[in-house]
Amino acid sequence: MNNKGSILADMTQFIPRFIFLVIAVVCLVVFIKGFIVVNVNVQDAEEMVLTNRLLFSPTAISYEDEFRSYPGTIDLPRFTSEHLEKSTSYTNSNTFAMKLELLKTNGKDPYPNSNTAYLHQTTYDKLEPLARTKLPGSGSAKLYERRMYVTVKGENRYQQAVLKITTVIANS
Amino acid sequence: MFIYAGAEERRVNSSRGKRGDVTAEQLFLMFEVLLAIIIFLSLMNFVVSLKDNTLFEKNYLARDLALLTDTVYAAPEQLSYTYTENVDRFGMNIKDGKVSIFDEPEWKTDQGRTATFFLYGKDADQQLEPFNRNPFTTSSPEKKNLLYQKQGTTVAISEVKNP
Repeated sequence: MNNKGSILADMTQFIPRFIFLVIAVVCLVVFIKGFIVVNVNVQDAEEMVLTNRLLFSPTAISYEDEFRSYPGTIDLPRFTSEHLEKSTSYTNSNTFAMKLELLKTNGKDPYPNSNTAYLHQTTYDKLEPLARTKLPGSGSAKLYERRMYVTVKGENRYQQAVLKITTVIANS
Repeated sequence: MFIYAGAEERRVNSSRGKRGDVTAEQLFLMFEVLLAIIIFLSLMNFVVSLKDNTLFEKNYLARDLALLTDTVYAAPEQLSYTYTENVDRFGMNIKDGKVSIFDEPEWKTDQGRTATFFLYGKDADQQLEPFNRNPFTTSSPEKKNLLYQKQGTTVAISEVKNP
């Protein structure tokens, strides 16, 4: 009876030791896992490349004559969602989206006779509210906003404007 | 303090020759040592397996090449770019808006177990000639780089000898 009681007392005393062992092992595993990088996060680079692609590509929104394209000069007839989808077509449109707006030089009022152009509008409507929450995690998204001065080529006339590009990229 | 007091008590008990106490102490000690050995061996096994794991490199290459393809599409004029990263160990397939990287000769489709991929945007007005590289079927001792060339509305990828 005494031996049984002694073993029981020992077992009770070993519970804190066992908990300490588990904590030490968990710390060790977390420490080792911290050094192992498998995922590569390229969201920032992806946003930059996509923006530059829309601005510089001869088939995107830039004005192009028979000789060359003019980065920084927006061809107004090309500034449509349909044209964007045609010039930058992804097999999976659920991972990112872009919204392009032309504004007057004050940066607030919309540029006359211009539409808001979207790349993957459905995805944009889905991801933008999530990105605004700034919540981390794979279910959310990251939002980037850029404004730049551009020249808009309308019908036989050039005008200054502000191009606002909002990009949302899903966290993965 | 509590643990120390217990250990002290057990040691006193064992010195008095209570065999049951000693056995319980040893049993718990053996259990702890066994647990530590198992965890240590499994962690070592995990770390050693990472040496041969190419997932990070494949992920990196897929993303890098997809972003590079996007950049080449964006070039407003003619362009020639040599990609100097070492890609000798990997097979790759660049077509239909997808860069797939693989490291096994048995690779069959994009749904293959070891293929890693990343997407780039196709352009209806610029054509990219599909590029396929499989070093497991046609082995060459020469180290090669990838050459991106854009002329007019055509983008081509080819292999060139590493200078």
